[in-house]
Amino acid sequence: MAFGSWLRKNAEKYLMEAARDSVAARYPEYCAKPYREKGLVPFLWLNVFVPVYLAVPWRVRRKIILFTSYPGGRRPSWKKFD
Amino acid sequence: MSNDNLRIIIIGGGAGGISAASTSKSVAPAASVTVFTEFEDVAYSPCGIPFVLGKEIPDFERLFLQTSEHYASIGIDLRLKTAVTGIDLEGRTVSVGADKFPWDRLIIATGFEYEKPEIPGIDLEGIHYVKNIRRAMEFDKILDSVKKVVVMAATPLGIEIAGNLAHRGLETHLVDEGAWLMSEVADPDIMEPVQKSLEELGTVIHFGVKVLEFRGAGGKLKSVVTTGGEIECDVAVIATHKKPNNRIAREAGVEIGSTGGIMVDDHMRTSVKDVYAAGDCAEVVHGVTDIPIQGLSGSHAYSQGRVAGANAGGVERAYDPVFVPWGMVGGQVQIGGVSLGETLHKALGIPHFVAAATGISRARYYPGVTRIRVKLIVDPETHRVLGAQMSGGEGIKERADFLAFSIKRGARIEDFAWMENVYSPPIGALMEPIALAAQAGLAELAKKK
Ligand SMILES: Cc1cc2nc3c(=O)[nH]c(=O)nc-3n(C[C@H](O)[C@H](O)[C@H](O)COP(=O)(O)OP(=O)(O)OC[C@H]3O[C@@H](n4cnc5c(N)ncnc54)[C@H](O)[C@@H]3O)c2cc1C
Repeated sequence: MAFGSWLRKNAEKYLMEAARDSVAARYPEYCAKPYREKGLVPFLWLNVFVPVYLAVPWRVRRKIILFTSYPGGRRPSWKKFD
Repeated sequence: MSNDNLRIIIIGGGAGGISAASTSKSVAPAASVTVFTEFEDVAYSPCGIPFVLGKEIPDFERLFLQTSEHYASIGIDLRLKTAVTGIDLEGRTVSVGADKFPWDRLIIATGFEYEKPEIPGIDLEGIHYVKNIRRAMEFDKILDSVKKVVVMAATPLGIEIAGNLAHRGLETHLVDEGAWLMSEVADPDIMEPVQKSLEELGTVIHFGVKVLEFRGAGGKLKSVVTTGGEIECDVAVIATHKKPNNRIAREAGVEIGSTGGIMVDDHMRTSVKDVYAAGDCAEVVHGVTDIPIQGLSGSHAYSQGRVAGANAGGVERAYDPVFVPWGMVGGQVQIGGVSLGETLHKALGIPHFVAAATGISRARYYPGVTRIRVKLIVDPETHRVLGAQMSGGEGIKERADFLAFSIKRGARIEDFAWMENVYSPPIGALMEPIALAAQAGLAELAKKK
């Protein structure tokens, strides 16, 4: 698996886990207990990667995501809406 | 090149491939247009399959939108049950076994496959995926003689299947690792009425459990073993994520993006000249975040096919980044939205606040009135609405389309708060639920100031 795909897959998984926990805390009446893998790898992603990722301002983070989403950061030509 | 001799080949006969073929033929009538599909049929709606299985729709025949003869009559050469085995980008041919077919323009519309879970017993007889209509017809017959079904994953398809099989009268278990339904895309407050409705239909929902094994006897499925216990069943439906079917494109050397979809620009052009891609095999740009995404809907595949088909036929057409209006029925409840919900905004760490309210679908005294919950996700700096999610008894699809159109044009929460709306007792309440949500959001903001 290419680095971009590997990073995206794992980042998505653990960012989603953290986000779902936070949303579940906001709406506890609608949520059950989710399944969670245990061990060092999930611990590191959730306790190191996620907080570091979220500490970076969104504008910067979006640039990083876009750069890692395309080989060499070359975005194909698409209209921009912002 | 003159369009008279143009040879256009399309791989795929789903929404993307068929719309590409029809459009190419209409913009370049003299071109030869050939569609290869490994399936037995084209032009049917896979989206209707769950409802036939649930006996909401009486038969599969109604899902066919066109006949193969129709395509022949408009000059499209349909090659059914013909799998393309390779693409030669240098020689500009596709191969079907030893046979080679030349093209001047190639459109790849190979669609999606389900992520096959790596779980012991996954190949047992009795485990089904719902996609191809012929396999669905066979499954329908099998369902006549079974009593217990396990549906793996509370994805949109998993929810549609679970609700429909329960409606059919089968003992249906829906198994998911999440804490609420569709927890990868939707928010828990939006999904709660769907959960209630599914349970009322008789679906047993197992939240927070992981499937460990499909257990069988004599090669046939007997039960599903989960972290929450063993569930006896006759058949199981796998409703895991859709992933792009990119194998032949990748092997040929067409550039694949980080989502696994074929990278395209707004003309559906791939990294290779004269090669286009459309539908679930491609990745497109998300209008709000600018990030590539993949695995959208039949309507997206259809529109992308039209753009690819027009460009391949020599008429320029562009496709905009997507804002993804979506909607569906879960149990008896309608849900829908635009772009991302609260959970996904949190996951990506996009600054936002939530404006939410519950309104009604008709005048409160009118028979059939239902509650409608609307949630708007708003940029705290610009007040632009970034996304929305909704649930209710009616009118969700229309609101999702309207919100997508408005959000794409930069609408702010103030625009929705003071929007005009239709009031007519049988079809609309005096206070539009979208406006109520926006007003509630503004009131919250005012309190914080
Ligand atoms: C049960 C179900 C319900 C759904 N409900 C909805 C809904 O309500 N709303 C909605 O918008 N979407 C829905 N979808 C999703 C929607 O159907 C897909 O997004 C859409 O089918 C994608 O179209 P496509 O043309 O990209 O790919 P597909 O429909 O996946 O078609 C791919 C085509 O490629 C062909 N193919 C693949 N590889 C080869 C090869 N090597 N050689 C030859 N042919 C090949 C296949 O034969 C097929 O014809 C549903 C899907 C399913 C399965």
